[in-house]
Amino acid sequence: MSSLLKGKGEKLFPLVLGPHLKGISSSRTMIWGISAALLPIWISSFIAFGWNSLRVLALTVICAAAFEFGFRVLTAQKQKLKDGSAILTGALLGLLLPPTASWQATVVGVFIAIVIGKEMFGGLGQNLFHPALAGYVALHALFPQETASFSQTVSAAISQLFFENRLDLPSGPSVFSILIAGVILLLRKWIFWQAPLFYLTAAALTSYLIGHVPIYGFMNGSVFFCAFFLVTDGATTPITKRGRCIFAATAGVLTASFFSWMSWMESVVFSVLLMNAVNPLLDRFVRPQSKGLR
Amino acid sequence: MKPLKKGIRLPDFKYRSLSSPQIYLPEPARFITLLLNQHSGPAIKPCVEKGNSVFVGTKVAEGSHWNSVPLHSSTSGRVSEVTPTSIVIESDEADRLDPSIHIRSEIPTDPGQLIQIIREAGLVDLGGSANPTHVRLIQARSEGIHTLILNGCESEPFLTCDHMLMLRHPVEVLKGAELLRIASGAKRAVIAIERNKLEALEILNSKNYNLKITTVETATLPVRYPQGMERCLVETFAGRHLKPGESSLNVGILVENVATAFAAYEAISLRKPLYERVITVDGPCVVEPKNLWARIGTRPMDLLRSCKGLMREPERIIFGGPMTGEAIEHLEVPITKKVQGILALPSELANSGAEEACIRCGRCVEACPELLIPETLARAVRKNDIALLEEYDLNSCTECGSCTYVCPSKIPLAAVIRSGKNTLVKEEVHSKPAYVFSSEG
Ligand code: SF4
Ligand code: SF4
Repeated sequence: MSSLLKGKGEKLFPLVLGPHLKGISSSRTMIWGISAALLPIWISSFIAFGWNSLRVLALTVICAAAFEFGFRVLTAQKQKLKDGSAILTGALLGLLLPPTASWQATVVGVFIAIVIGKEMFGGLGQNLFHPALAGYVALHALFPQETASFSQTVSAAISQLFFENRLDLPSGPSVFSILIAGVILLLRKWIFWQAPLFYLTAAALTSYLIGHVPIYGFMNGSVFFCAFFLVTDGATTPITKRGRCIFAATAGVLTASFFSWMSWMESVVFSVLLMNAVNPLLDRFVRPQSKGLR
Repeated sequence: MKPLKKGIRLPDFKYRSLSSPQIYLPEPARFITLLLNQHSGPAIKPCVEKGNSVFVGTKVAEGSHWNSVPLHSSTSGRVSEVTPTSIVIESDEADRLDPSIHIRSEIPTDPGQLIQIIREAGLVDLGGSANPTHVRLIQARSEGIHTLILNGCESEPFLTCDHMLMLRHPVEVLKGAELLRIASGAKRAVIAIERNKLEALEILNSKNYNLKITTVETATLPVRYPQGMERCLVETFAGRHLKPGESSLNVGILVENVATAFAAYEAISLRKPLYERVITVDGPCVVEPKNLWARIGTRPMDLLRSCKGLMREPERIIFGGPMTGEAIEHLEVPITKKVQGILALPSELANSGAEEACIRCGRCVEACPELLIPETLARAVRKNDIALLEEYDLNSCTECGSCTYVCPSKIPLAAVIRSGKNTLVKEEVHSKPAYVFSSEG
């Protein structure tokens, strides 16, 4: 007979509340996974810019980790580096910067993204604005010449559209590499598929209605990057699926409309930030009515 | 029918107990401890004294209130201790049946009589809520219901007791369903089964082909948690949800467990009181998971012995399913009528409580069958924000635990929300009472 069958007093099991079954998903896996899914994009950027792009990546990631560590030491909070969110923010911000950006500008951008954009709001999940975008906007204001982005016009060949490195996203990855990363996220169910779909459809329709030339111009790095990595961010988009669809669709419309006045990169950034600002409202009003109150 | 759309998919974990294809008789236990508060309802008092000798099925406690449920001895022997909360009986290992237990030659068809028999036999809802069956039947009669649903969903992982019961005793289940239907005054009885138990469905259908009980049907439902919860079942069959606190009888539906139907059959045609039930003893720590005919009042230790014991140290012992069951402190807590299973979970399956920051992934919202926003509710509970709790309709939460299960940050949403319910009810005495939810079946 098993010696594990002990009586009263010998072993007490904890009286915890249910449910007792541990779920399989983990937010750590999710965040580290999303960071890892950025790899194809970085490779594509590396192909375009070589060591310069790696320099930006290393700088942003290391600074992001260091700033979060430092902030949490100064404010005597628990270290949360293991959850990976600082690294993810750093890696995302790196993609928004041109590989030619000076190290001073990069460090300042990461500082604003991590300390002001993320930690000041209370850390992971609490931030109102997407931290990487906050960092980018600050840099845009402080170092306009270093973060200047422009929209390339391309000829119509699909292969050129998708496989060539293009500078719409300043780090210069190809749309194809972003699609690979996006498909990884979708397959692992780290993001809801509705957000990219609604965002891209809305952007395409609006481009068509406004009559942008060329009509397929919205198929560029920054719009796809936004579709898979920015409008799918949890903290800065509504928590309900319906809210996320509305968020993504509106952001898509705004992006395509803003393109009339600025580059694709800028219109992506400002449309998402604008939607981030109205996000608490969406959260409050776009939600399923609970069954009991209906 | 509108099957559950939200909710979650859970790992099954049923194959281990199903691979012992019988309901086994456990090794006899020397002592049994009958707790007196086994049912929800008025308290009962012992009607035996220390030293009395009792038989299997002898009534040992009863209450004067009609809504109380009597309790019967589950072994023959001598009463060795009577306390205000429990009766301990020492077995003489002879297992002599009480003389009152013998086949009833004529089955009554009068609902009143049936309900009387069901009360005398000590039946409660065996699906986890332990509501007295006769009280529910009487309420159903006075409200006038049209459908009796027999819950054979068993959507919780590990549990296979209802499944095995339907496989091994289909005729009894069908006859019991018909008897319960007559007692409740419903026009039809539907045995609801999830699609992972199609062989049980097949057996029930083929037996009914010969039995020709036309008022008892079967229905299949998708495999989804918490489909087997009373509210979700009612919603599925009624086509509309219930308001918090609203009874399923309002939409003409009564939900009973298939195990209750089986017990009703035995009570009515064999005069056998409810002193044993099928229990799944399972969990990765158990050497040989099985379904057992467990006597009420046995200690988990004795039941685990019949499954060859534990092969590793469990992190947690649970009475019931892993989602809605309750943790117990040691292996000597006697089982009661409502316990469907005894699970020994190792540390890799037990929820550890190491919580991380919410990343607002929205999975809890997608999972909630009541269309609540668990993340906001939990946040409001922690901030003690009562206005927000009311706005987000705290009282609709059925405590199914789906939100906690899917949360990647391992936030104990359901537990936090439950604690919030308690404080909210305390602070606003005049507000509508929180619905008493029956557990999963
Ligand atoms: S599932 Fe957990 S992490 Fe995701 S939104 Fe809900 S509470 Fe937050
Ligand atoms: S426990 Fe409550 S809030 Fe959580 S999923 Fe179930 S009903 Fe919704």
